[in-house]
Amino acid sequence: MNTRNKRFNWVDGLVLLLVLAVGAGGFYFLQQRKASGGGVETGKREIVFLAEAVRVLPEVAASVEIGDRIVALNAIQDGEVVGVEIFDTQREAAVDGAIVAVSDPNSKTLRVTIRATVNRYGPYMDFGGQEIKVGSSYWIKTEGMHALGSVVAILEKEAGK
Amino acid sequence: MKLLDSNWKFFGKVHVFDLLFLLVLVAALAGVLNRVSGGDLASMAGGSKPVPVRMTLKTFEYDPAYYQSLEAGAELVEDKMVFEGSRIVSVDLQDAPITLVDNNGDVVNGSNPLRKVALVVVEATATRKGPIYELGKQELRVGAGFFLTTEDNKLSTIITAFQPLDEGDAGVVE
Repeated sequence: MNTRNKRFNWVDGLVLLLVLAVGAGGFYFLQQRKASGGGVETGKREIVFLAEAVRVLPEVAASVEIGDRIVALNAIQDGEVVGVEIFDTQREAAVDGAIVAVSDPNSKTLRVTIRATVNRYGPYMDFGGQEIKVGSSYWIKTEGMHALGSVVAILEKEAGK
Repeated sequence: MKLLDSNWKFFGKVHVFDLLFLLVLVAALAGVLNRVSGGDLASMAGGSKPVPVRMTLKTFEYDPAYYQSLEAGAELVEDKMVFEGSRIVSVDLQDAPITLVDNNGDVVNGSNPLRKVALVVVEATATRKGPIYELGKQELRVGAGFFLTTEDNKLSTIITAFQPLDEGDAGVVE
């Protein structure tokens, strides 16, 4: 009779312990996910947001129009420009002891309102690979122009689909 | 004694396949632990604990339009995760001071006519590891930069006051 085969192999014991640990870890992870709401809500959502680019050339600012489609990731995105506002870039100046705002006609501030269908991952919204949050930098990009700016406001937001 | 004998065993004891399998399991276990700890294995060592905190954030200067979506009650988030129980307690818009030299060469102090700052009080449950408080990936300390991130906002701020709310901790740090 071969008694060697009946001996408990310490490597087998370790493997067993590790399998149990991995199982316990996986169970803990799933419990944590369940406790935090079972993961994030994902889906599509239509929003309207305002983006601006400051100190852009007048020619660049003039190259965007209502109805222009948004371009990103080398493709037309599900979004369009629904509003355009162009004004002289405002600067601070001190005149005769007072601080005032003055207009600089050599550069423009471009504000565009965009209606877009964004991807939603819980509290995170993504449109064409760009995060949409007030204060985030944002490339305003259409078929005719682009300019680096930032998101100024989220004006409308429908419930997630 | 040979390192690897003719039976593929290290020192005649452990088979090379057993060892490889063991390594794979260790890697898998480390992966699971890393995932469970939110990418921070150190926190699994038991050296961290949740601590409710209150802090005051002063935003950088922004055009007032940027504050439209910033409201009391909003939860703080990071990437795709919401910090449960966190919230903006109050938002107080204030003038942004500015100093310029006018056309007469005089120094003029006043308020920026184009921009405002906001003082934002938030409460959240931070993680304390020794002397370090963190909320997600951001360290909480007076003077530290902090991205005030909610579902709608991601504004740059500086922490100007910090207060752990559990008993026995130091009071307001300002």
